[in-house]
Amino acid sequence: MKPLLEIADLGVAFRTSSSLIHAVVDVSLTVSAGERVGVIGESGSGKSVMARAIMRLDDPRRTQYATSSRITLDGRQILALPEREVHRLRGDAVSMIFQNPMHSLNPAFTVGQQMDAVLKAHRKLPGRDRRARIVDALGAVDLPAPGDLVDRYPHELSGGQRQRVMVAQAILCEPSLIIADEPTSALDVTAQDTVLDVLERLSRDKAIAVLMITHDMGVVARFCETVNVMYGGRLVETGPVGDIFAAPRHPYTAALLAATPNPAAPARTLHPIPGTQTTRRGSASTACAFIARCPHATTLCKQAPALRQIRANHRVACHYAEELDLKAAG
Amino acid sequence: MNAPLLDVRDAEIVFTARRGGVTRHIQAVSGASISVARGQTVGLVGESGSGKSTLGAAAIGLQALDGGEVLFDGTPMPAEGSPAWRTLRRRVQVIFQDPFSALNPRQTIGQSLAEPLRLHSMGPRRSWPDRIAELLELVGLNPEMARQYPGTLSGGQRQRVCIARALAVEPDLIVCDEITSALDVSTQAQIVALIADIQKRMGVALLFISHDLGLVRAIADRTAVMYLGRIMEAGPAGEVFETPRHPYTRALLGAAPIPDPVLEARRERIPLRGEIPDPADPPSGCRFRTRCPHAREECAKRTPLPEPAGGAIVACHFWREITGTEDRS
Repeated sequence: MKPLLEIADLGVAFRTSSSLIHAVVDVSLTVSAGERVGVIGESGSGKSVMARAIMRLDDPRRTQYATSSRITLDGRQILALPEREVHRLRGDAVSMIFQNPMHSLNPAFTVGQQMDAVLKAHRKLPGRDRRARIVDALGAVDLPAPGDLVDRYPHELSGGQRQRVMVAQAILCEPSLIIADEPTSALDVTAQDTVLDVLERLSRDKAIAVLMITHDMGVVARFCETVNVMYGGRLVETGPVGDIFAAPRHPYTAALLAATPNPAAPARTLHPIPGTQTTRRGSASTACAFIARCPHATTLCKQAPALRQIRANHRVACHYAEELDLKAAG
Repeated sequence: MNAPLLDVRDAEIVFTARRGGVTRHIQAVSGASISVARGQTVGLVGESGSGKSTLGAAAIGLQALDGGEVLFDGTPMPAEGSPAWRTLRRRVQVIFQDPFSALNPRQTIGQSLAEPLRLHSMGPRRSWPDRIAELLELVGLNPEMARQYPGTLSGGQRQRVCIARALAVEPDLIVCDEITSALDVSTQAQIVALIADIQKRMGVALLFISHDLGLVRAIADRTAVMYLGRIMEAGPAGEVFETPRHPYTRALLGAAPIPDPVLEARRERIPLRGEIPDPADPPSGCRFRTRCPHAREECAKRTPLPEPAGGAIVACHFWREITGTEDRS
């Protein structure tokens, strides 16, 4: 079966006055229909830039896509489409949810008015039908009394409720893909749990694929079936969530897991990753992205390892993926 | 019995806010008690609006109380501006969440670190450069960094400088208020490992305020759980995390995702009803009752007082029944 979304050899660079910043280098990944896929990385890993490229949200005047880059969504070549057609896709076949719902909601309009603007832009429906559809969507995200909620203003809602309004807005046009960029990072754990519940149920019931961009391994374990680990603009490991958590094969994935606090682990100490992630300026580096912080790095690592298959669906970009004893390191 | 280093007793803090001609009295902290022994790390967890930061500020005299008292080393908070107050200001330090706003961008790191030495007359001025170099090394930074400005530092480096500044005056207690929330996971682990190491070596006590349960579990000896201005449960960290007794603690732990898909799939989840109530108009009786799956009439009538439960204390009328049905080792 053809995947719903296929990203191949994506490279994204930003022009600044003095240099070129390589935010994403050679990233390839796929999302199948109805699949819940995670992209994990720390700030500067390129995960959000990659997500925004799918909808071409970055300013075209300063964004350069590598010539080999291809993003195929449901047979459409996104990077080759005229802006007008990409615009039509946004909020329709593909929706996005961002971290801060208050930035996405206009405080001067009611919940219903903003959702109606989305629906009007994409569907020719009479006003009464649109309202019914909006109330349905608000009910589908477990918001109480959706019939009253449509006439409320964003400030009257809690942070968790606002984010559920954003989810309701995202499903209005029955998208095949939702790109969720840190949708729960600004929420308390109890509100986060509700939002993830709602997203998971929608994904199952309506076969909506979700690309979950996050920095939180807990969210990946909770929500995703497949995970892509990004570091320094590159994809370093990808595979089924169960396999990767049980036996990470890239030193960065193992280090990230060892650095993640676990409320269920008996007072274990956290294992920090020494050093910091650096951004590439000028020409894209030819070395492994993790070389500066990797305890296992050798001279061989000055040549960037290709992402290669080591098990079914499990791919790793490390020369030593088979040899390293990473569990012991964690 | 030795008095605890910090002893907050029945703290009450009410903020007055006026909006649209209506005066609202927000009960940020209501009858909350928390104590920290010498050299101990106490984690204070709660969601936004729980009052944990306000209680932390009160613990070091940065927030006046409307009721109750704060004892430091067994003696009440001295009057603001008195000589004893100055001494206290040296013995308790605080580190905040945002290392970007905590450092003056126009001062070098060295100048920022000299400030507390000057304020509290820590040794002769000529000893300061050595002391500053020593402090920077203590937090894992190059002493050369004293000449740099904060603008050239990463978030993690800045937070290290803030830790060094807190340590400069050899405090007995450091309040850490969400000190890693602005940092990436790998940097967060570096900072937590650093502060835990310093805590061990120097014997300083920590009040570690965080919304991150995993983080508190990793660092705290004791944990207190706060909800809407009240302490719901407090006790040894292992006990609170492994045998949570208060329904709120259980719900909070049940909502936190576990970074392990096998354990995560088995996590027992307790869905909460509704939203956190308005702190200007909190529920009568137990503050958690409007969202509690076990709430009954009694909970609206009587405020549950913290009572001993194993090695912990729990503020719930029915904790025995709620936990009694389970296997307990």
